[in-house]
Amino acid sequence: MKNTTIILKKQIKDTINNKAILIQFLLFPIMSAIMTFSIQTEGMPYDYFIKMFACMYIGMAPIVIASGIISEEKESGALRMLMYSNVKAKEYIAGIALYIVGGCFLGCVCMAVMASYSMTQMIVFLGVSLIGMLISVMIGSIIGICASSQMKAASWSIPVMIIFSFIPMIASFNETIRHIGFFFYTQQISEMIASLEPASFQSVNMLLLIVYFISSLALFIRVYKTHLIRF
Amino acid sequence: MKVIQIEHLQKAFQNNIILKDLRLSLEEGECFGCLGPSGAGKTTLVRIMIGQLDIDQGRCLVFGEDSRHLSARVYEKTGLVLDEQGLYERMSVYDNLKIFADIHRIEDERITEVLKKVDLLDEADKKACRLSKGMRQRLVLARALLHRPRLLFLDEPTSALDPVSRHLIHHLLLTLKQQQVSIFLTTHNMQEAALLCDRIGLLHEGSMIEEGRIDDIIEKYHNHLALHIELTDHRHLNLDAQKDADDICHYLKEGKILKIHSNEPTLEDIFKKLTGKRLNL
Ligand SMILES: Nc1ncnc2c1ncn2[C@@H]1O[C@H](COP(=O)(O)OP(=O)(O)OP(=O)(O)O)[C@@H](O)[C@H]1O
Ligand SMILES: [Mg+2]
Repeated sequence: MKNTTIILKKQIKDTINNKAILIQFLLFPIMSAIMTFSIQTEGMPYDYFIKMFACMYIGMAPIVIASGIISEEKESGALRMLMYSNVKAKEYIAGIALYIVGGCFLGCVCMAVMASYSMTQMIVFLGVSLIGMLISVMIGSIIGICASSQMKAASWSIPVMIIFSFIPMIASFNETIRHIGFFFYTQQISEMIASLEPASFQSVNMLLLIVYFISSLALFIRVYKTHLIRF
Repeated sequence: MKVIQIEHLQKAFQNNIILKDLRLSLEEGECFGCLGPSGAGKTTLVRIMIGQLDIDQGRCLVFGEDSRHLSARVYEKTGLVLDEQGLYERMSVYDNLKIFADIHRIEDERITEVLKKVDLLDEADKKACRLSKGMRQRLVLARALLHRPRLLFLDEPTSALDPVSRHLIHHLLLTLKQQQVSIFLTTHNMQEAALLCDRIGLLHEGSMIEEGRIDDIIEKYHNHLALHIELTDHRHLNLDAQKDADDICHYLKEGKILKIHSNEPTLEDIFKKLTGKRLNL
């Protein structure tokens, strides 16, 4: 637990100098603020851009950040030095995940405040976002752990995050993509965030999200056991 | 107790045998130097000892534990300087050490203490990516020493460094030796080995072709009969004390000898004699 806090602290310190990660954390909250406050047309819901960007944020930032940090530290040998100092792989991953989910969660809180949601809406928005972020962090970690270099990690995470984060947006314009998108967790999140009413959630959305969560967790554990234990 | 004990170690990468039937031991407080040309398998050997690589045959014990399953107890007593430095480039020198001090639960005064030792106190606030090559290596050494290890693995700690950094590192390692810290060092550099090591091993294509105290190895290959003579007319002659005894007596009687040396081989000569190759490229 102590080591997890140390990793978390190290990441927070590093953020100030790491522009690539800082941009990932800030880009979508800032974008949604700009769009929301500058573009308001008749008949458009006030939180239209917030919902749209929140989905992209959840499907993009954690994947890029997690794969970037882990692959960088692996490539430089810093991760190995940590492990020789008795930091367990799970403590390390927990520290990184906590950092990313914490950072993105703050971003989502800002977006929810901007949208001035009611208490229930806020809880649903943040709850659904949280599950999405956890899935994204696991996908990002899998890429970071498997990739042999930072370059490789980037070349894998970019297509993955584009598929996950853009599908829900494109799906709203195209029926065929909406059908394909059915199998992506970001589409479920997008649909749940769209209504923000627990009563109107379709059980299939919830079910798919849970299936997604469990399967990414299982895959993550498998990759973790085969690749990270023996760095 | 033996700090490191390796017996009949064999390691291959995809049918390519890198280390063959290796035997080696390191006593407490001893400095062992592993000398070999590039590609001899020095780094591979270090990576096996720290548990990063598996073994195909034989065994490798570090503080009595199998290197493949080292416990926290061993890590706490071990310091590493590897060829990949693993620094946090965007963080300051101080913060790079602070992370590890926190992990080892070491007081902050110790960070200042090791920074002073490696002469980096003035650079404490500099980012790691702004350091020179020599400074970086000194920072890596500082990190290795932070938790007062009893065993150090040093993989070519001074290769391609400036003389000042190299001298500082040598000086530091000699002090550590006095404190009975055990050291396993790999190097291409014979002067370095001669300065620091109690014992050395010559590694060639995965085999330890010679091992022992430097003086003993030199003695073993020293042909006492071979003499090098410089005459008063500045001619140089290589003579055999037995076979050419008459000639030598003749020169002596005539008072023609300016200098006379015994031909003591260097480690480089011995390596070349054994392998036909040069140690230092
Ligand atoms: N992961 C690996 N896969 C395949 N071959 C490897 C691997 N690591 C090392 N080798 C091979 O093992 C041999 C020994 O390499 P090693 O790095 O141990 O040499 P070295 O003595 O440290 O050389 P140098 O002085 O240049 O650092 C080389 O031929 C190298 O190509
Ligand atoms: Mg090497």
